[in-house]
Amino acid sequence: MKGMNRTVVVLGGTALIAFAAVGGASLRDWVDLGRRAEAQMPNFSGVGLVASADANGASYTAGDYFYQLLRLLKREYVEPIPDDQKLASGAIRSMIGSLNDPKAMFFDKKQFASYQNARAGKYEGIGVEVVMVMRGAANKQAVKASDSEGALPEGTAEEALVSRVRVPRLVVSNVIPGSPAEKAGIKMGDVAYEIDNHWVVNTDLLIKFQKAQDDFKAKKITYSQLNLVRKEVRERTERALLPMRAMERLVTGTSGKVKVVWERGTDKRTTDLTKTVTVMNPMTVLPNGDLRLAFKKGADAWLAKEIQGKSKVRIDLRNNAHGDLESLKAVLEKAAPKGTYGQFVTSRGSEPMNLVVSKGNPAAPKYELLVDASTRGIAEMFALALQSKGKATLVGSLTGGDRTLVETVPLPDGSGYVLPIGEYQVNVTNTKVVMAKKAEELR
Amino acid sequence: MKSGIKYVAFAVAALSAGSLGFAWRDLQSGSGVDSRAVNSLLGVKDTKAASPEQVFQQAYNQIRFKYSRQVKPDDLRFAGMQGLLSSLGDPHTLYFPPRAAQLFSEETTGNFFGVGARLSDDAMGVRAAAVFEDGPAYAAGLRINDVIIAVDGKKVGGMPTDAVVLLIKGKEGTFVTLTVAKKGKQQPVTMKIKRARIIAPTVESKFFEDSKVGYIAVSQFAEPTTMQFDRELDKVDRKSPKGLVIDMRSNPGGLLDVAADMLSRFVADKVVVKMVGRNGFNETVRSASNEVRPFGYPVVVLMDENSASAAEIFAGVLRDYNKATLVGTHSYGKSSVQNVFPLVDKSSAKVTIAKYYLPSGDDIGRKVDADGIYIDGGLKPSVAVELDLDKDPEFGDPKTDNQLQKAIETVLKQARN
Repeated sequence: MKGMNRTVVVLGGTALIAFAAVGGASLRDWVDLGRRAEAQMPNFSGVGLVASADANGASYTAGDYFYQLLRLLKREYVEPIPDDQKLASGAIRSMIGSLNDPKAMFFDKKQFASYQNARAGKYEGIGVEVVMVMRGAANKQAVKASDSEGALPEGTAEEALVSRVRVPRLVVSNVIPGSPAEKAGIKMGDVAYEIDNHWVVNTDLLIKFQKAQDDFKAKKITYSQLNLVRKEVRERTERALLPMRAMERLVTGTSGKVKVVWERGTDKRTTDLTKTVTVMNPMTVLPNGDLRLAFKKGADAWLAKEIQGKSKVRIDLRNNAHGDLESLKAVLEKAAPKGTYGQFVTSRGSEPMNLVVSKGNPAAPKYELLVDASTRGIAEMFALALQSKGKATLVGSLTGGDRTLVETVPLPDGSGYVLPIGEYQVNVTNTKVVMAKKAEELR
Repeated sequence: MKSGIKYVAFAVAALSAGSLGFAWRDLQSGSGVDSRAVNSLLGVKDTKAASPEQVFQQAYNQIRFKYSRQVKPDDLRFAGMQGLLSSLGDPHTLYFPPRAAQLFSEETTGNFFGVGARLSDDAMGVRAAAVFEDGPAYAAGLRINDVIIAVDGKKVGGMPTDAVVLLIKGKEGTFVTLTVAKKGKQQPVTMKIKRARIIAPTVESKFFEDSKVGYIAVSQFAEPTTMQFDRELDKVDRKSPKGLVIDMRSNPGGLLDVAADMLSRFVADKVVVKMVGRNGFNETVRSASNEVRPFGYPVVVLMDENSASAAEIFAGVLRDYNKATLVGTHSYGKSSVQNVFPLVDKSSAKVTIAKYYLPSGDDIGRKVDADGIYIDGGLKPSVAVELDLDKDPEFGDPKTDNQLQKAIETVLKQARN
């Protein structure tokens, strides 16, 4: 029971927070009061899942397993269970968390409503979009934390720790024009470090602590230096926010204030922002004649009308991150001649799925597409697809580098989740962006 | 007419036992007919929107078959079940996948096969941080601070301690040979030790000569704890102490029976806790009537936020009957009773089935805010003192452990009055 052990307990606490983020379960209070209660309670072996000589777990589908466990809870749990759907959502939240993939996200009811609003062009909170960026992940994205997010050297203690406890950082991927965030000078790549005096949990502190412990063992630092790091760990973990909760404070709500400490490189700065709704009409003709396109239902018909009879069309794809595959396909049918525009691949060994335009529009115009790092997801795929066939010129700066196809699934209780189902690949290099004009001139 | 329909449903459910295994067992156990099983048999479509298990199954399938990376089906299911149980918002209702369930069971029985020593890191190998007096390693001559440099001839310098532990542990009755370096000796010593069932000490005692105060630390409430507690109490009593400090810090709890047994040394035939569960389940646990020891000195219980469950009952009951003063910080605040349900695939579910109340009627349940930050709950100390971490405290060392200093001060003050 040396002081060292006690610190390990503190560290354990941080690790638990971290695991809670990915696993959903708390391991606090390992030992319980079980035995006595068991002796006093009636025979439980009647419940299907409870082990008995004749039962066999292999015969249960996941749904049956869930159902049986739910019944066990309904019968035994100390309080009545009011809402079964909430439990189903909780189970799904945990499955999504177990994937340990920052692009697989579960949103509770409030978060999902905000997410859906953002997809429709109504941005709550401070008017940003954020992504989770894992430290140490090979990162080809243009949007990343402003300090180095490069891969860690192999075989180091840091690497071992990071692979065990992975907590992503919250990075701004889009600043909505006219939003409180834009007015306060928030930029893409800024990292939310502290929100309303709560530290946003990330792996960096764990690594720092581990390193300090190693350095102390190797007698590179003094005991009081180690103690300083310990103190920091203790103070930070006492008031901490998990990334999803932190994200919620930035992108949900239409009133009230939020205080954020941002990290940009080694600089930190604090903003006090008032939440509101920032509307950005996702599908419209801008005053300068440019089109703004949203990849949602009805977009194909709208675009077909706008480009009819034109030989050259300019589309502003900045601040464009949402959309679904069906809409992308429908839009391409109207916007491009027939052909194969790249493919979606997975690492699970399934056949690649081609992005095919089957009939297409032989009279499609040439495009000039305004892009930058806020051009992500479906919009980025659209830009690259057209560029790969020489149908479009990209103007602006590098696209976001997020070519993951995701599926958005709403759940009955109002919550929902986002699941990556493939990566878009197309035979083109994303370096042919014409930096003809500065972004400001294009607005 | 209604009873007729019921009858049919009953008969169908009984017939379906072969294909829907659980229905028959439900009837046997006297629970209601599983309407879902009956409906699916009769081809009745659920008129409601998707049921929770359908919603779950859909998401499970989606992740298994559409997610861009491969996932292990069992891992995914375990994660789902963990989420199901934790979504009740009760931190003590938990699902343990098979491997964790096994560890959990080892932990509560307090027994494992080995040689009876606790090991820690050392540059040369592993160091014996504690050697249990009842264990075979002690009998073979292993002592605290000895360094094990090889196991069965294999050098262990540079190996992680966990890995060395795995080498040393093994089947009961088999032998392991340790090569041990002892301080002050030139040549390492070789010991052949028979592995045995180890009863890990959960109680340790000290006597502080300068203050004449006895100290007993209880690390958890496992099966052998009462016996060990009695033994350490005897040791302390032989020194005629002025007072006793019982250290419950970092004690996560354990078996309620054991706590009640230990409380019988202080109070005879008194209410220890009252448990209240669903459906009128109600049980009062009392201390035994003829096990009281004469404590001729004041007692202080030391606790902190990691004192939970049975440790809180122990401290709270002594407080309620004026048998001890509580010193330290507020305790964790666990006021619920769990039962462990072993499941068919060797996983298990630990479910809160009742709440308990102290003799005074207090509910000490922990309350937290949305971020899990403590607001209220747990036992409150009569003498509050935070641990000073900057002194690099070692629990049980009166020189560095300022909470213990306060406890000794408190107990001596009471001894004078």
